[in-house]
Amino acid sequence: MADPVLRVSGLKVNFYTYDGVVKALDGVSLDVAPHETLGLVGETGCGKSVTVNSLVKLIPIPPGRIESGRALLHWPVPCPHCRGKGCGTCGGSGKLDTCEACNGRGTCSACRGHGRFRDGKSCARCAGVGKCYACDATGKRHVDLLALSPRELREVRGSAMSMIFQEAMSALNPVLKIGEQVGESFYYHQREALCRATIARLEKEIERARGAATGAVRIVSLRLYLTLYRWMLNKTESRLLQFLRKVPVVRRYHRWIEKEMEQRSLEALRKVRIPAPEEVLKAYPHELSGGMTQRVVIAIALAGNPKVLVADEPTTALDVTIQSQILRLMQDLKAELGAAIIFITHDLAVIAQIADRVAVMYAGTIAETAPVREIFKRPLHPYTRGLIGAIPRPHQDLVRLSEIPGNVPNLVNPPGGCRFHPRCKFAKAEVCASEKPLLFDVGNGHLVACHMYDQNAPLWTDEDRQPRVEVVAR
Amino acid sequence: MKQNPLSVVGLAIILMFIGIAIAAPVLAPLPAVCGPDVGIVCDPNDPYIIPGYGYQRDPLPPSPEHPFGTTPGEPARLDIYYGIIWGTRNAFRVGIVVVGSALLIGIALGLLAGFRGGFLDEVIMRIVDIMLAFPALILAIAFVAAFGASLQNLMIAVAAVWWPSYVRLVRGDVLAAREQGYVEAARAIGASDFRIMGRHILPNVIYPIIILSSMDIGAVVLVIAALSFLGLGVAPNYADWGGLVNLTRNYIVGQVGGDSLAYWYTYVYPGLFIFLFVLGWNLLGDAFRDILDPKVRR
Amino acid sequence: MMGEEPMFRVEDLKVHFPILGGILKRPIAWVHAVDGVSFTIRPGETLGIVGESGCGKTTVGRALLQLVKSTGGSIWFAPPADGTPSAPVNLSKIPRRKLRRLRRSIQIIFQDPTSSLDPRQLVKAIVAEPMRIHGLTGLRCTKCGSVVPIHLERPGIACPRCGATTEAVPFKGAQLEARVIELLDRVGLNPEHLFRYPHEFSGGQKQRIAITRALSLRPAFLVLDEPTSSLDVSVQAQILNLLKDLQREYRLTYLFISHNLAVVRYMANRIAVMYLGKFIEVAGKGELFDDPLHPYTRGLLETIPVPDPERRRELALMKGEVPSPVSPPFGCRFHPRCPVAMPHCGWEGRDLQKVLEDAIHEASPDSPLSGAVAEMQADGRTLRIRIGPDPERSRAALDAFLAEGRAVGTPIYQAIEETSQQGDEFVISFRETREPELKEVKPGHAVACYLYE
Repeated sequence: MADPVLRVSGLKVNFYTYDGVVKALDGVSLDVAPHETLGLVGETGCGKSVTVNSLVKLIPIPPGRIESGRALLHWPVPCPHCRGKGCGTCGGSGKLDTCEACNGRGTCSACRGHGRFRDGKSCARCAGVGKCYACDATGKRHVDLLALSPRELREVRGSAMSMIFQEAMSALNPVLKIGEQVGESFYYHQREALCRATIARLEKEIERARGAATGAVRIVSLRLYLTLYRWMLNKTESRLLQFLRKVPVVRRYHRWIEKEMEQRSLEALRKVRIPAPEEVLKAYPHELSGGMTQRVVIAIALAGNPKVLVADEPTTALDVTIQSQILRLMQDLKAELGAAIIFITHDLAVIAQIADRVAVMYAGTIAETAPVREIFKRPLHPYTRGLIGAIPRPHQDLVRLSEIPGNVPNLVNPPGGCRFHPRCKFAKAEVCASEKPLLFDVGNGHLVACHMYDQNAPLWTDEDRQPRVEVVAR
Repeated sequence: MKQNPLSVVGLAIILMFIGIAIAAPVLAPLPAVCGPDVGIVCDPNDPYIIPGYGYQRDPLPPSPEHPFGTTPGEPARLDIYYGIIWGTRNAFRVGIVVVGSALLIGIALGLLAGFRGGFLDEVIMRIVDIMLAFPALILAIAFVAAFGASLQNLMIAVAAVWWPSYVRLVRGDVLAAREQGYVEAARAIGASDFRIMGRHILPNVIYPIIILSSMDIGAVVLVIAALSFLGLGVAPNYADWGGLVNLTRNYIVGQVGGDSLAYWYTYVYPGLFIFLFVLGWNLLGDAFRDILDPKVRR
Repeated sequence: MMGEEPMFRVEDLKVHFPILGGILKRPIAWVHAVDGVSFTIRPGETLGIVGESGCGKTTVGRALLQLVKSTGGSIWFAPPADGTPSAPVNLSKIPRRKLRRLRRSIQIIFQDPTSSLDPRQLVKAIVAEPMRIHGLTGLRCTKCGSVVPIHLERPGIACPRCGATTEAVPFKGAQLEARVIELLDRVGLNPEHLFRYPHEFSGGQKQRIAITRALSLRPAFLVLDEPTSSLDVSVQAQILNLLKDLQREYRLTYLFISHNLAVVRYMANRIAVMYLGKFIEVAGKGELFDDPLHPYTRGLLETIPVPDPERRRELALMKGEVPSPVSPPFGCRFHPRCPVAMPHCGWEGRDLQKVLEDAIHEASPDSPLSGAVAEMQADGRTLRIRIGPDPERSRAALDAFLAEGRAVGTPIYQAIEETSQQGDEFVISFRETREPELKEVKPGHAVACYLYE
């Protein structure tokens, strides 16, 4: 893929538990293109949640440990010189989007793109390839999510990458009103914009107050607030300002930004099609139905204008009719906001409806990645074939569902080589039990981690490789 | 188990006490002859009567014949060491009998109240509420006052005030267990209510109670020791830890004008044994919890 | 296989749960979980009940077994023919002891295999428990003493080894264990699994253990309450196939409950669609999917995602959410959400209240409608509106609103019987309606909808 917004390579995660080392992820590699919906599919225990949770370090670190891997997120930042207005440094766009390591050239800074040094030694940083390690040769500004400090990670979470989970009700604080929670999201991720808007408001109010000849006290206090907000614009994390929020009279200054927060929250709720948003703002989470709380959670997640929205089984707990409403909402929102979505589910029917590309996971590895039509029409990996054959179809009268024999393996002692080989009809002991298959490219954006599709695989016939799915219909 | 060294300590302590209790006749044998001519007051048939060694106004400090010293002698001074060794047996007896009976009543009533619910539940719980409203100590004292001071009556009194809290605990757990899927499944296969209570509910609620009750054994011994100290329990020369301290009540802070710690051996030894006994059971209870409660593990 | 006498004949089954309130904990309202459901199940068939969560399908299953007491109607169960015909019994009326004995013939598989197995019982005990309770397990030859293996068991069969008569005996000890091993083997579990605890198994294996437990008494009828909803897709396929095989081998009759239309299509012969406590459509499976009659069924079929990206479409949306079963809508329960509702489908005060609330919300501040209404109270078939400050203007605004609706042809307005003004209250009352009955519209295809009356 040319310019993925998120590129995960070789993610290895282990959990060191009482029962042994759970090798949860064994070198997961994924690409997410901008504006696309990637469906991450797999059964319980395959590691799909662990994958996305590792990206933002949401997994418990002891016992979990990210052994290796990189997760490059394309993340242009507002230009620090002009603060987004446009200047010489950023070329007028207001955003700084060049890779710091290679200055936009895309070549490895250590070896100048040659791959080796004058004395013939191979460049260690780019492994002799010559590509810039930090931006993966795109030249654009990327950050490695797995290498961020906790402070930097906090900036990313919610703004560059947002998550929504299965149980919407438990994602919301039951003792806070909806308005407070949605507003908080804006407060954290759009502080600058909120400040600017508040400043504009205050200035207008001061004009009006002057014109209407209101008391001097009011004008003085408004001026004071203006100063405070200008300060906030400069130093968003100012401790003094936070302290002032507790001081009795002065703390009223915060009401102005809260009004702005409320405005935006209302807009956000309208965007997720919640009826009567003003009332919902004042309600508590338990007063809403499942579908409504999921919409609120989506609104919160979108507040930071994320580049990647991760939805971890958001509709599994909902009724079929509500599920369709939420899915439709997400489709429409995606078109509007331009975020990429990683949609995790075990329901292949949902994937067929909303995904652009699909990645199938099995036991901590990616088995197959392909555009959605490809994967349903030509499933190549034996696991994918089995999975698609096992789905009951509402519009077809099936005689028998195809079964995958055996069980999902125990990840403390996973099978050697290809983790699927004990259950695979096509497994050949010579290679499948000993070597882990890499993701082979078979064209059309279709990648399979199966030895059958290795260019030089002599052990299988073309017949084997035919993507036949056993759907026996009447 | 080896993860928690304290639990091993607890086990060791209790085992030591069990050893002492079993070996009592060897560790502190009755004197060969009893009677006024040898100056020893004892009962050859009842080893629980501590032998008395003649009149002595003040307690005597530890000596070769009396390793832990003696109590003040009215009418005869008693060997503290003997009292403590044989008192171990009593401690076990008291603890296990009292807690055991409270457990039996508590679990039975708790199961019935929780599982059957309805009127039976209301009745049982009101009785429990009434019993819990009484201060336990006062009730025990009243009982003993009414029926006479003896270890038996003391045990009955304490058991009577102990069981209501078990009922509450068991009932709570039963209410939760009742809603579990496997209870409905048991009903679906045709199990009778008693079968469900006995085979499905009980094994799933019993562990917290076991843990609590093992710790309670120590607590009960402490309560009975306190009551004996107040003079409510046993006869003065009966082998009971609390009773021993009771005898030296007047000497705990020493004599007027004298050294306040002069008679330390009268309360330190019995007190030490009480402390160790209770500690052992508490640690053992913790150990039980670590083993039996799967939620706490790891 | 398909006998003539139905095994189950359910007439007007009702299950209402009380909501207790007040100091004396008296029932202040009732949840109409199942509100008058009738159906028959023939021996050997699988009847599927499909519906969204809260429609009452799970309660129907449990009521059949009387795990939940039914509050009305009768459940006639004809014990399966084992040579002697027996009269049907009404399960809701028989004494507890008799009911317990009948539990041998009617069993249930629950949705969550983890909670339906006692975590402190060994698998061996779990599977053997029904046999221990009822004290019977198999047939033993009177002469040579050998036990008839399960798959050959038929009532009154002769001993396969020596041909003598066999008798039904309770198994104990080693024989019991052997029978448990036999049963587990049929579902693909090994003898060493006998001595393990449920938490050591995966979800699919636990469900197999539950199936084994249910089948240990050779019941004739099995309620399957969403048996695969908590399982993964591939495991679901295994379990569903297993259930189908078992049905064939042991000549079982199933009631299959699920919210998943695709799964129900795979498993059932006849399907009943349930909504808010009532069956709104019942048909053979081919018939239901080829020609869905009820708007709710159609809506369901259009809304569910299909695992075929070629058939990707604008996900159709069903309006609104399932209302609470405490006070279901009048008339046809689906009418508030129905895209093709008609004037006589059951419009009532609550519906108009919602419409007016939405309209007022959308209205601009200077439109006559805003401010016309101070308060609204829906009371059965009437809607009482306390008019806003300017009574003339308010009344006019409301009249105009209703007239406009009537002109457009929206059915709710045509259902209005009369409007009157009583003091500062504007009262709108609707026509009386009944619920549509489940009527057979085509052979083997029944619908409860006014479109077909």
